[in-house]
Amino acid sequence: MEKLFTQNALVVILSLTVISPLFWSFFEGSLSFVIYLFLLFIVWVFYLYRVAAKIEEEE
Amino acid sequence: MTLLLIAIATVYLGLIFGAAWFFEKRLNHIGFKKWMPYIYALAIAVYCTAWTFYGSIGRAAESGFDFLLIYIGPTLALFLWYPIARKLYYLKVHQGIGSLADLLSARYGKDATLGKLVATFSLIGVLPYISLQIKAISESFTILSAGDIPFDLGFSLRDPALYVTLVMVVFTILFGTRYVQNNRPKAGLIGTIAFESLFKLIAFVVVGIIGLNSFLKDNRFAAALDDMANQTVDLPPADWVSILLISAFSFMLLPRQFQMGVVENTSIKNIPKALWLVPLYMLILSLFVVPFALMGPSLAPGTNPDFYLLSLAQLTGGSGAAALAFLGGLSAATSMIIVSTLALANMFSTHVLVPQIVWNQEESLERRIIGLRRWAIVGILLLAFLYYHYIALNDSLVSIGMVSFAAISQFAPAFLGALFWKQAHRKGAIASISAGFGIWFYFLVLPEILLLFNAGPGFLGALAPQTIAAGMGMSILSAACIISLLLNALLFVGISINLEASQEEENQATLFVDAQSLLSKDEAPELYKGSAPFPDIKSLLTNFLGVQRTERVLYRYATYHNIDWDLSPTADSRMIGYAERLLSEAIGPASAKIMISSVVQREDLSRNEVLGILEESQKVLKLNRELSKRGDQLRAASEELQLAHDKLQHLTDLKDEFLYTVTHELRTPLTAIRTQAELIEDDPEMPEEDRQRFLSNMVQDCDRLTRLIGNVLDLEKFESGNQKLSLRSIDIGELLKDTVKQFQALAKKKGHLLECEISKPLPPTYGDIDRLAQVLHNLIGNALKYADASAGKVLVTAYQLDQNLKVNIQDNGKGIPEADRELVFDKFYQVRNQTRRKPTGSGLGLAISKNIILMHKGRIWIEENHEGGTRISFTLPLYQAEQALKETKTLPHA
Repeated sequence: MEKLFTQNALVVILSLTVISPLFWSFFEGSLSFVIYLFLLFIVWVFYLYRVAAKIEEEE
Repeated sequence: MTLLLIAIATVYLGLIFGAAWFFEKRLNHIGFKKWMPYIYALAIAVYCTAWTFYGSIGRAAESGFDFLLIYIGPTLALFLWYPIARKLYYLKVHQGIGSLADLLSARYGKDATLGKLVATFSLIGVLPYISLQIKAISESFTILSAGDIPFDLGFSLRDPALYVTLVMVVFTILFGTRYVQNNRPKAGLIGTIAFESLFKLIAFVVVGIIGLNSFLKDNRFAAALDDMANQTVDLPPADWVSILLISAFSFMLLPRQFQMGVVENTSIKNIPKALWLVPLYMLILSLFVVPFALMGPSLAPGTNPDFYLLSLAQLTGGSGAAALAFLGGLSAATSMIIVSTLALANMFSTHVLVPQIVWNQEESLERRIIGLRRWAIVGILLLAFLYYHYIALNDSLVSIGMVSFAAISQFAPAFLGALFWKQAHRKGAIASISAGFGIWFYFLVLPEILLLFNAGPGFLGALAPQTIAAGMGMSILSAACIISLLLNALLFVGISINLEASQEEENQATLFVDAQSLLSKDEAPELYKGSAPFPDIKSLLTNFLGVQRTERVLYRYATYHNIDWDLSPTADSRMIGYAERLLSEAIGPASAKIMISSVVQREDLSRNEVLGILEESQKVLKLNRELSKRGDQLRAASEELQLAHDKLQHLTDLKDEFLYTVTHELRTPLTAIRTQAELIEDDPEMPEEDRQRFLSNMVQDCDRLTRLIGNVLDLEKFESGNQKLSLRSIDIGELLKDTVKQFQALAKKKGHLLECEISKPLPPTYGDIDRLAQVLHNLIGNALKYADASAGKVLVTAYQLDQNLKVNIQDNGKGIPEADRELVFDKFYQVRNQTRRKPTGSGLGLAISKNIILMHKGRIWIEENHEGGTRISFTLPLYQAEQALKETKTLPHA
């Protein structure tokens, strides 16, 4: 379980990095950035779904 | 439209009362429990309020993409939420935690000041947020009524929000204050909030699809998308940090979130599903925000951007869509008002009001505590309405929400320290929260108050919040968040590492930080010594919990611990701890500690004693786990033993049955032989013809006996594994033809037609020709026996099927019922089956045939025969060499 949450903490840091102002200049306009954020959102939901499944399995 | 709005709002409010009644009695219902993880996740979605429903579109229209950060913050918090939520659940159960104020007060030495501080600051911080919901309801009425009936917004009897607020007062009192314990889950409440979350989601999606469908046909939408595509991504980094941070903290710490996520949680198993369902909910809810924000300025110029959803719903989907959008907003607002008011009333009454009446009085207080909570609900909603009237009317929904988020985030350092840092100190928590709130108030509330008195920012000179924020190059909200949280965290850490905690605070710190290992069992360790007269404890509990509940909990406790209060009238430290937890659920940890201290002779424990208790507790926990594991292993072994016993019993029954049947079968011909021999012996003058007939019968009976004994011996050899096969290469086709030829005379005698059809020569295989001939004799003999008596027909066919030879023997008799097809291969099946005419034969033929075929690694079974009659089939694998047959594993019986 500890390993899973260390991994989650790393995902949070990575996620914050890829949505941080450092990355904004890679997008030519707001629209593409919003689409990028929505795609990331889908990835997060799917990842959390996997995390929940693992927790349910272990508990 | 106005009357329609009033009507549907009334029906909707009636519906949520109905939903609450429906759910109220179903907390322990199996169906409710099954859906509880989903209901729990939807209840946590109370995070999405009218601000989300209406305000996120306004935010997107004014500031671009940053509305998404309000959802991304909580989503990233959910990555780390599980260990926190699990710990909070244990603390709720074992420490009687019913609010954030309870949690922080209990953790920091059951400190009354901290409880009061958190309750008061929460009230001040969240009040604007409740008023925001009232404002949203009021303005949505106004926008959709379009002046049909002149509404007066604010403190007026003509303001519809006033009536909705009054209904919320009634609802919250009815379904939120039923029990004196404030940490007890309330099914009516959680079910209704989940229903409202689902309703607002459906409403938003339906209105969103209708709107998007219309926008896609409008050239202005494409143009707006082009504009957006050309706009650069622009947001001050300070805003980015502060919005993410305060939305993540608020998702965990807002009173309504704590109420739904911790207090109303019925099981630790509910948490994992919420981890992904809540972000999914927020994702769906934000899908249509951008299209509405883009089209708002074109389609509804002059409208407040916060209410583009309503205006555009009316334009694109007519009155129906507008009414649905209105109801979605109403559900978002009402759910937030209900839960927030309840949570604040619990906190405020428990930590601020209740101590004033309980510390000095001894009369029965159960009803008075509930009464105080109800008055607190009325008071909070009244204050929220006043705030809405005097301050909130001129602000946007999002700006009011952000102010509350920033206030609640001030609890974050003390909250995280409480759960994960043993050295976190009470004074550090009090100082950090106070300082954080002070800065929050100065930056975000004071300017609003000054405006009320017509004093501008210049009133504070160079220290004006606006001036400071401008100097830092950020918005006033970001400046407030960053300065307050930085100072807050620094003070908390700085003071905590320089002060030593009291023994009680240290004990509580250990329990909270190690909650996972110390509290995940049925009973928490008691970290103090003490005793009290049981009648005093009982009297104290009766005062606060009422007679019935006190009797019930004490009876349950006595039964669980096998205690007779008449024989042992002294409450030990374990009982005192239990009583303190029960009191804490009603009056908070600080008051509970004071009340318990009034009747208990408590002795302080030394540090070594505390460590000893904790170590013991962890050992007991480990032992319990091992015992539980052993118990599971024993249960599994016991089940295996039971299975083996059942199997042995079955085999014994079979053996008994077999012996009974064999002796019965032996006795019948023996009796006949004896009777006929006696007749011959008794009558020496018997005619020669009769004598010969009797002697012939006796010989036949002797043959039958010999055959039966031979079959029994054969079967015994097969079943014991002593029977050996004499293997050699055989031609099954020839064997079939020979056997059929031998039976032709019998068939002719019976008047039956016996035919053998082999379409093409069969390949040779290895087998025991005598034993296979025995099988064919049994099967063809049976077929002739059971064929139709008047026009009997038996057909024998054989052919190659893949790597097997398949032989079918088919008759045109009555056939075998499907249920008996497996059973006919049992020993003496025909003897046991008394409902059928008893045929001649030993009843062992098919059992022996089955054994012979199995020894050849083949299969034998009764095949479905649509032409009527019986068709027995068997297969024999094709072997190229004798060794191959010996090495092949036996196939399961068909």
